Amino acid sequence: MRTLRLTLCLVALSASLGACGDWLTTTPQTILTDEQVWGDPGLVRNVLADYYDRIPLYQGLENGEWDEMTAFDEAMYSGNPRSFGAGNESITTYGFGRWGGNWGGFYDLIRDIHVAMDGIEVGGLPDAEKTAFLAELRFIRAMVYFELAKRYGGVPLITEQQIYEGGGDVTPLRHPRSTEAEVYDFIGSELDAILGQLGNAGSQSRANRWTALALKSRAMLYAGSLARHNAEMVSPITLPGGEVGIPSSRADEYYQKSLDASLQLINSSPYSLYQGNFEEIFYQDNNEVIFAKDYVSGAGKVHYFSLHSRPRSVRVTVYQDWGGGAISPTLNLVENFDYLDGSSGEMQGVGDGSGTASGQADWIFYDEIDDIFDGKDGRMFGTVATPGSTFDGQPLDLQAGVYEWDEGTGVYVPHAGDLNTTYNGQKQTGLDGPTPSFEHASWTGFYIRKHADPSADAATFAPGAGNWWVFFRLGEAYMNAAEAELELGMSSDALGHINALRERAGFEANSLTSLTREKIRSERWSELAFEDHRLWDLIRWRIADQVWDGTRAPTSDLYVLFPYKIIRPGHPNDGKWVFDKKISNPQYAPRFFRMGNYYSEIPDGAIGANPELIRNPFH
Amino acid sequence: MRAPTILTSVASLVVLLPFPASAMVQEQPMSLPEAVVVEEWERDQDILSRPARLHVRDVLLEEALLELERAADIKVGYSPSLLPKDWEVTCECERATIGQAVRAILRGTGLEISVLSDYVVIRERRIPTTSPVLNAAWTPTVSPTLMASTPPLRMASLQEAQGTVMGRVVDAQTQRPLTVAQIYVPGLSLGVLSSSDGTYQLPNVPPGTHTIRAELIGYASQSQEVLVVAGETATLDFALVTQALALDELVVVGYGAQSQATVSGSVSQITSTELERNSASTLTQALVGRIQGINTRSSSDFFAVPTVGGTGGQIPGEGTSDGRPGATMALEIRNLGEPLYVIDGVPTTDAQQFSNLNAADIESISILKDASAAVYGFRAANGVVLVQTKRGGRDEAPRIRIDGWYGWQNLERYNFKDLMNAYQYQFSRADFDNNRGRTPRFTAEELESYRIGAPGYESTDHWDLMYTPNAPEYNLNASVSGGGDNEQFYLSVGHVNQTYNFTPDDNKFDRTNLTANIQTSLTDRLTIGTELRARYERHENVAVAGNVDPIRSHLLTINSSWPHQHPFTGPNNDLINYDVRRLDRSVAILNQDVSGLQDDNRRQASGNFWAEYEFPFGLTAKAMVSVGNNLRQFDLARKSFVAFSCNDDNSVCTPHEGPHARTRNQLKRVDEDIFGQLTLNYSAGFGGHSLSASGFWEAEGGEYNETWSLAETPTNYSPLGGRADYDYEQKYLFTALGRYDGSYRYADGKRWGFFPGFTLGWRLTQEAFLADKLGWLDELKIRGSWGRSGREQGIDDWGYLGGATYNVGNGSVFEGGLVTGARPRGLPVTNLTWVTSESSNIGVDFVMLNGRLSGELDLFQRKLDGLPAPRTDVLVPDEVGYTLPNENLNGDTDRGFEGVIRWSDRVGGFSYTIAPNITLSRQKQGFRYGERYGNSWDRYRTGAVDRWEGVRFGYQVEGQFQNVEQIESHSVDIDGQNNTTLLPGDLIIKDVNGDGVINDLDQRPIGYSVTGTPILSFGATLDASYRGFGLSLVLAGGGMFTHQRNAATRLPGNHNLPTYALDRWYREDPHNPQSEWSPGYYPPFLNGGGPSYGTYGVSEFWNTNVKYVRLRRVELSYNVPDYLSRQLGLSGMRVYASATNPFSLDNVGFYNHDPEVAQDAALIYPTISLVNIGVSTSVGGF
Repeated sequence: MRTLRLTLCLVALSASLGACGDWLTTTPQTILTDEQVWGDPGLVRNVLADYYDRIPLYQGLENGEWDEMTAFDEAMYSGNPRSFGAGNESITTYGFGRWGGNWGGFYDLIRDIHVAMDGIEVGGLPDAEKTAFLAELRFIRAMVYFELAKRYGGVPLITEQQIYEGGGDVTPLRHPRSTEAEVYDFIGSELDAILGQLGNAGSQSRANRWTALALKSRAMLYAGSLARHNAEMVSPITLPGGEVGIPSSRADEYYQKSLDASLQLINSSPYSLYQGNFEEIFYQDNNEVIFAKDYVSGAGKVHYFSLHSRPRSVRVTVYQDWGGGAISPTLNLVENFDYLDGSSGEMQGVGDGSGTASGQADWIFYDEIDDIFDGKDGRMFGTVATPGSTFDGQPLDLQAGVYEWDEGTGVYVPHAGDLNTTYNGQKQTGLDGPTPSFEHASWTGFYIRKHADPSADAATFAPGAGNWWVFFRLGEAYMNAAEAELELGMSSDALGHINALRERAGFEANSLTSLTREKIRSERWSELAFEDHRLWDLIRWRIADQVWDGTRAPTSDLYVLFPYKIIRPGHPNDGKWVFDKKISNPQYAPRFFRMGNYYSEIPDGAIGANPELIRNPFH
Repeated sequence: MRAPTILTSVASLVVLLPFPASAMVQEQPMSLPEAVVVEEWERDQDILSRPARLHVRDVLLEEALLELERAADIKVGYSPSLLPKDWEVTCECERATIGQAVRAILRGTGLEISVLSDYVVIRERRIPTTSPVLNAAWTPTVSPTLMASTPPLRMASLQEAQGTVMGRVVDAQTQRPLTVAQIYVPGLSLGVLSSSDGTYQLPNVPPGTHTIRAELIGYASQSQEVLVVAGETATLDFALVTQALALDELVVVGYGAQSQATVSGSVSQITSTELERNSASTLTQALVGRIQGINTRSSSDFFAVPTVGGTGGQIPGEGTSDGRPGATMALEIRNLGEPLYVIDGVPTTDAQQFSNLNAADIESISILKDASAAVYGFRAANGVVLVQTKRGGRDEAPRIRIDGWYGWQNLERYNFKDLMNAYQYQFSRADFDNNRGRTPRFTAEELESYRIGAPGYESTDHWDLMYTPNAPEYNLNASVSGGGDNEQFYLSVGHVNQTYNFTPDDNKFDRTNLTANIQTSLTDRLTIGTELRARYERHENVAVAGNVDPIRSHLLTINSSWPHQHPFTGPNNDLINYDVRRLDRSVAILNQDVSGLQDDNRRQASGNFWAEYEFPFGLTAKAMVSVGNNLRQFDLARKSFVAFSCNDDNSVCTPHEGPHARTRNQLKRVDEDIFGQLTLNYSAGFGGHSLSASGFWEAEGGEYNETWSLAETPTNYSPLGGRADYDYEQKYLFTALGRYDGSYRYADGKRWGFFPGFTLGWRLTQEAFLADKLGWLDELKIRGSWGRSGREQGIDDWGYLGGATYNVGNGSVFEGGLVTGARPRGLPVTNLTWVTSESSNIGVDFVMLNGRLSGELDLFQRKLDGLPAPRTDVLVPDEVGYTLPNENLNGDTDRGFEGVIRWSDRVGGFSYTIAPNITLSRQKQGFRYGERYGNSWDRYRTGAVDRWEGVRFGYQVEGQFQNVEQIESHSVDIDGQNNTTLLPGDLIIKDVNGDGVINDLDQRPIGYSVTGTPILSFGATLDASYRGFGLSLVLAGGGMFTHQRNAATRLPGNHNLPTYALDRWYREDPHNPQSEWSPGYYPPFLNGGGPSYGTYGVSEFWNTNVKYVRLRRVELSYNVPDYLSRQLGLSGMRVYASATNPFSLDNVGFYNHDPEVAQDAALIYPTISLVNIGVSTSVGGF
């Protein structure tokens, strides 16, 4: 083709030199003209594929996302000190912008959405398709504004393309922040408006009416709890213009909206609670997931969550600074899971690791290493991999060390070493750890199971993992409904929803008979751990500064559970297992959430370019 | 007027063919087999009957002949002694034939003409004869016509009383026979031309002692005395020495060629004879040091490793730059940035295509440095490198050349060559702990065990395990060239095979180049030809995991491996040891058996096809089409492996899965280029005026596609331009050139730019008033030039289009299937245009002392205007969702000086040339839009306007603390903690502003750029020969650039350190915090402060402003006399031994750093040192 053009050009030369101007007009294969894109449903779908992919995530499965799971109290980072998440173990304070994301990036996406909306308006698609696409774009925009509101409170509500006319005058482009309530109201009204227009019935990767309801259920719950719990603070966080802070008077209204959406999902939607193994929700097709960011192993869109998180002894791939064992769930999380008999989830009969008689006084000598977890909430086993369990069919080798009886002092003396070491011919420390700080192996006694596709292929660099990140699932709707109901004074309805989830986790029917805020919050953590809820829940409940108060207190310090084998030949305890519950390597800092962390800091650059933007409190 | 030389024809002619046929006159053989004489005669008459136009009035006869050469494009051969002195002629010959014109000029001189091949030869009128003398001289390759230049009349009468001189003329250096050298007896009208085997026979010389002189263009004339006895034959051989500045040498310039005498731009040329003498596997390396203004430096960074979207792998980038086999080093002209390459007339910005040409195939490389480059328009701002490949000669017997060498490579300079052993390393770690106030991690007993190498405490030298000295490299070339009157050909094949010094069996590079340049004349006026090139390149490396660049993994292995761990274990010490610091950096896995193969193949093929038509009135038209295809196939097949963890006595070993994933990546990139060109040349002369003009029109298109990114990059240009060269009596020189260039990068209506250039020259020595007074001055030329060109910078392909980009981001998975993403583009860029580059140059060329001393000096400036930058005063809110595009706002200026001086002389049989050169070029930053400063310090520190580029700030160092008391009494707070963290040996940082505290405000300029090419560079070539022995040296050096030592070479982290770090301050007993300090050169190991404060910050101590002179190459050669090589059927045989980069004198040797490497941790492949022996010879051809 090119040759032909050149030949023509050469021939044309003899007639007129100007004839070859066209030579310089090249037609790109990768750039689509406006006419091409907006009139072709296939290409609009390509555009949507980009936008869905760009929906902001804080925690997720990709590098840069999963590592934030180790920044709070759900897990510690135990991977390579030069890789993602390095330094998370010793965070002293959270930067005010840590979870703020890319302010400009949010608005880039919003601009692109507006470009697409304007294009589709004139693009010549049939009306029905046009309406459905516009509704889908408005859903994505609502998602983006929700993600913005979570982080910043009220933000400028830009609802159409902003055109710079040149000439240096940019004042018409400067928009002030809307109030926090206005943003949530906008999200709510947008979702209501598009509910009847969205197509994609049955899709779990594109928005349909149920997806809109799931977002509404969550967003309105956030708005309601912000209205209620902010006012409960000793000094509520507000700005005079309402950019942050929602009047408490509006709490019930928002809770009710959330509840309505949740109930529709629970009662009328085609989704149902998955009854198989809990962890399978996250890597197998199932009917509980409403909306997910999906991946395909080996086909160009993959993540490396399994490669990073897979237990040391069964890891498949070491790639550069990546090599398994990077996420060590904390004992804090493990103890949050109740025993099925209704008792609190705290570990029974554990020592304090001090090596003293008193530190060993409470020990229960367990016959098997997993006896200590007998009777725990089934969701725990689906969330973390515990000592004595298997991963991908292979038993984990979790053993911190041995305790050898010292007749002279009358205490057991601990011996521990690097991974996979022996002590006098016996196994000392397991290949899976735990150790206080050996990279690529557990630091806490646990590995993560949620999100980790157990197949060996998923833990490779290629083909990589293809399991999805779940944005919305029906289980959350139950939790949202229960929380709204409790806040609206409908605690028996709330109990029904909570118990339904507990029943699936192996509890008896109606295992709870009364409900408090604290109980519902603990249940929510058990159900939704590692699903990017923990931080935002503590923020909207306005208790993050108390839970992570920076002191060596049970909730801000991270705890580990180290299993040891007893060496006391001839004694009945010989060969039995004991556990020490300790603060993680004490050099590491307790979690400390400051008042200025409730809202993220608007970047200086953004304020510089738009002085109308009011700073958030404490910044 | 300089002494006339014969056959100035082509050489002094301004040839305006884009690719003039090989034009060195002495290479035009003049063989004329007897059998074809009759046919030839008929064709000869044809030449004489060709139309000619000549207008000369009252000019010297010789000038008239020159005029005719120009006007009719013929070649005139004559013996200058034949021409009557001060003979003025006039010819107003319009619509004449060549024959008529020549005869008109010669009227009355007693001279007549004949035709030899395509020469019009002027000779004395003769009577046809079958003289026995002539017969005697008539060897099959000597034309009888040629002998006609001897005066037969006198011969006939005095034959019995005369003697004969015969002999052979050869090139002193190569011993190659020299054709058409003129041998004559000054004062007597006697002279002959040497034949194609270099022999001559000069009959009819009167008895007595005569001075015989041999002259040939491009060589220094030579006179020898000989005693001639009547009736006898004296033998006299000449070995001519190349003249350093051959004023008649043709210089290829953009869209034309000029004789050296009439060049008025700043152009340097290097020709095949010099290029053949190198042992670099890539061309770039072969140039450095030989030409002023050419500069290179290994990359400051690792190989570029773009992530391959979604295919689960990465591949090394293009344009990689370090010393490894086959790598392309960045070349810059006058430090201006990467130039444009034009290979046989076809432009490319791909340095690889240039770098991987076979040096043996190259006839000449011209470097256009100033306004001369403007004729290349948009891409010429950084200068142009013109390459012309070899052609076969007309009427040249087929000549087969074979050149081959074999060499041994070593890495002379490498920071991590000499690493600490286990004891030294563990001692250092204990010392480090001690310095930090911690209990050392080893007991004294353990350290002692390491010291004596007790079982379990042995030391391993990982460098030794990995490095293979004397890694082989060889290079073979074979070519055949020649041609008849109508067809000429040059065919060659070259093969280079080079291994790495790291596991040479598993890491290697080879390349095969094929070339075929063929042309044929279909009629007298129509010639067609082709230049075909193919290249096959293979880079084979170990597919080691970790860094994608496998060689970087090798380099990292050296210092990442602990000396107390051995890469192998097991009862037989042959199992891969699992218990090492990093299994992905273990010597044990650095081979293909364990880790697999990474195969990177490149195939390139291109062909130029052209036709040229000569009109009878001095106009030549040429059309050319060129197509090129470049294929890169990358295939990585990484294996997994098993490593073993053994117990203490190695009796029980447990297998573990190694760190590799089994990976297979196959990636492909295809480049396609097409190029079309039409050129018209016209030349004419009248009186002393000569004018040549050429015009061209081109269309260039290219595109590449990668399987892994779907990227497509077009390159479409469509220029129209020309040049005109005018001179008056070769005294006043003027060239105007221009290009109306169209680029695809800009929006319709903004695509075309005009780029003009002018050069002016004045040869003072051509002025009678000066030439008379300054006899010692052979040549003096003053040159000046101004030109404008462009640079396409900061603009994306199709930046002017709106719409959406397909295949951006990751896309989404909808219903289980991946959907490619498409995204609306940013604002269309319609207001950005090219950067304008204005270059000015003033220069002077001189030759004096009979050609012995010559030189070229240039002062230059390049001004860039319209460098893209954002309008920083228009702040569009982030919420708008896009940023404003860059505009053409800023400017920079490069200024500099360059020069070369040559001295060549001959003392007895010893002849030599020495030519030092120097270049100084530095950028000064110009206008910066909206530059603002917070305060005067900010302005000093960050200001750019009117500042030299490449100023490095850092701390000044006053010395080192010698003891604790000195630290305690030091009044300046260096560490921000009242010096409590300091130890003896720490650096005393100068408190420049006197505020008692060391902080950023104390930083001052301490050096130059750590990434750029040296501001100052110099080189020298030295060639000497004596009786067939030759010595040649190339030196290259530089200064005014900085190397900064990275942490890896100065801090004991988890990495092993070079032994030079042993020379440091340390406490003698690491287990006793009170023990005595032992002083050393280096500060104590990391005493608690990070790199931010003094000791380990950026300071004079860790920065070196590099100065170096490197012996780039030294070669000793011997030209085997033909009487010896003839036994083997060989001629012109040359054997040589050479060393490339054998040593360097510099100030970075004390830490074993290669001065040409910029990378701060030195983790790139250093410059290779090579020793090789070789032979080059012609097959047959005596």
